[in-house]
Amino acid sequence: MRKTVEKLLLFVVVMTSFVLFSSCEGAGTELSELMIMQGIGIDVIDDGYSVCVEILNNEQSGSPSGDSNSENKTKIYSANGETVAKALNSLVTKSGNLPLYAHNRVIVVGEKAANSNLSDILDFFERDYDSRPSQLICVAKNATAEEVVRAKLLPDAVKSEILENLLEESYNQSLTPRVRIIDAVNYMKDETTILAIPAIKIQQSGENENYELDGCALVGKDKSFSGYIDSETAEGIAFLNNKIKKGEITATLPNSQKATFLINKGKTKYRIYEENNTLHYDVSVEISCDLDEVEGEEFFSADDGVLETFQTSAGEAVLKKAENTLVVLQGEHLGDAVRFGKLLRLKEPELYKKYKDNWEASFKNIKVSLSADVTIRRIGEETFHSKKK
Amino acid sequence: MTEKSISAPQFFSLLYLSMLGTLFMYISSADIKIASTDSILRPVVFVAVNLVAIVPSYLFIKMQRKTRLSYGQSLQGNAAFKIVAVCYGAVYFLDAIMTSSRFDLFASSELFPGTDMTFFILGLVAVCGALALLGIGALARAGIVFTVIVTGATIFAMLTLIEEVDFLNFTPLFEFGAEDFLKDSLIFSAHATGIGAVVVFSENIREKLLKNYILWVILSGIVFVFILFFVVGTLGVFADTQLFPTYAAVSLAKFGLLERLDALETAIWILCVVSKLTLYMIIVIKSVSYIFPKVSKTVISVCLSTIIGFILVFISGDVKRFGFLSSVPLNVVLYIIPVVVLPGILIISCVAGRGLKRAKNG
Repeated sequence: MRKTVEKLLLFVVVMTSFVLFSSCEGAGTELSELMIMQGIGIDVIDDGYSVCVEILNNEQSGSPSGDSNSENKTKIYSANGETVAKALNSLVTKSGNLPLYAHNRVIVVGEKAANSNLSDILDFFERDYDSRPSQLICVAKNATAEEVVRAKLLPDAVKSEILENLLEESYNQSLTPRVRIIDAVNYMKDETTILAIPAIKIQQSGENENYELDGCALVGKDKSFSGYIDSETAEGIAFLNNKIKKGEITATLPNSQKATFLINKGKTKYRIYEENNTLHYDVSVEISCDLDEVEGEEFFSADDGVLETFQTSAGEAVLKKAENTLVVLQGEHLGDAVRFGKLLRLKEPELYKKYKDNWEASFKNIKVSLSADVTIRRIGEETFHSKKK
Repeated sequence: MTEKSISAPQFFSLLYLSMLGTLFMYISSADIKIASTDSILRPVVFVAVNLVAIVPSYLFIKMQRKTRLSYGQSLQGNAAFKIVAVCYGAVYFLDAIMTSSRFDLFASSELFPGTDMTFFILGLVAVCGALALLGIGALARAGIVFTVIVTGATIFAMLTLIEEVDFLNFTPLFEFGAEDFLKDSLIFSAHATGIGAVVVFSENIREKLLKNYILWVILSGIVFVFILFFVVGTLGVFADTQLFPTYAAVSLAKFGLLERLDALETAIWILCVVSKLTLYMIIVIKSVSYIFPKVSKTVISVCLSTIIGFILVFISGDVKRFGFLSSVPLNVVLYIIPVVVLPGILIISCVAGRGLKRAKNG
């Protein structure tokens, strides 16, 4: 009896596997029957939304090839609808295939769309079964999302992959914040934080076009676009909100020569207190880095003070970046893109309760005292005794 | 059904898998925020509550071992106490439906969205029904292997998320007081309905029951704290927007070329559902057998699987029906009855039985 039951069980398990686990989207669906999304651009139009998607080009599908030729790795389709979901679903009428969002790399939000309610646009991506919360988001600067998705890059390029790499690497190099669906939702639900989304612009390069990351678009507490910050300002965000990954620091030495350091790791520490009804943030940035390039003459073995000078200069460069960002955010945009409010909530909940209701003004008035402690971990492959002159 | 004796760690591995399955598919009530850092401390209350909750069952088992009267014999000793067997059967029948319908919701939302899951879920119930016929011995032995696989895979997936943990995703502890935290923690603790099974299988369990129980509760608590730390640390408030936050956290896990660890994880989590459902079906079959000793267990298992299947198909069609099964009062009642009320009745029956015996003799 037991053996019969065991055989029966094995049969059921194997048959279930055959029937249910043989394709990635519903039983019996072939890959060629799917629109495998790579990038989705979303614009706001008068009567709803316009979407423009880049999908993998599968020649075996035999489906209409969209706006591309058979040599391209991807195809592009666009459609309109009253909601984002409706617009995306109506793509089926053009491609004949089912959409698969699980492999989507990036969501491009047009400037006008960023200026409407961003949380409405993202609702589909939070709710849809296939959609992954780790998809990256960027804003099309001075352009529509469709223009970004349709940019004339090299013919065999997967544009969404380029965009994804651009956004990921900029984050890994501590140049811009990374905004995934998760981050966007978290920041927008936060009572004090404004969202800084990387901004992408299209640049003409001969006959082709290129993508270029150009600062960040700020989305305010009313969930609509409140302006841009430039790349220089965006660079300081990572140093202020403890998101230092890798990257470089270029410092001017006392003799006016330049030195570049590669960040190995970094950490930002905070001390928050209140004095005379004003919030004070002592922000100290600790960075360990390697010397990557230095102009002029250096001779470490002869003078230990050289390293000290390099470290001080690198620290000053870090402070300059962070100060610049704070001046812009506190002065021009009045927005807490560095999550100082959330930090206050965690470290000093009582002070947070006192200041959160008028956070815009409170953020503007925060007295920030910055300090940087840079340690040079290595000096590169050049010997300690190297003397060029 | 093979009724072999099992070791206490084997038995508690089944309870551990049951609770882990609950955590993976846990949906917090609407007014409670799972993203709050307080939720990481929920398992501490779970440990405290369940260390106390075992007292009635333990007292009955102690009494039972002294008198050498098994759970079955205590039921057969007095016809009135067949009601106890009916209650055990009914409670775990409802638990089996809740478990399988929650899995139906999970599978149709995350694993095969947009697909009619009827065939898959009915297949799963049939498999569990067949496994239940192999008895607690076979299931408990498999439980140890499943525990190693599920725990290993879960810890691995969570460790790959270390880089994604953001300090700013946490919130101050007890920011809005301890009331919501306690309420949510008690509801979470009340999902450990499997504890009632200790009484049902006490005659099968070798070794020191209490010591192993305490160890199970504490180790489970530690594992749950570990998992919830990563859920809150990686998702933040986003967790509150997701139906299954633990799955949402795991969907971020990747390791080298393996970018879809969630697919692997969910395949492994099914083992938790299989263990839990089979355990509950064994209890129902055992209880029905006490009431109708002449009916073959195979017949009971087939009937049980069929009834559960029909009910599941009915529930599956309307999301409001899932809501009823997830309701807090139902969960609490299904916890209190097998963990407190039924062992209490059995204790009273034993004491009263002894009193009657003494009166007769005296």
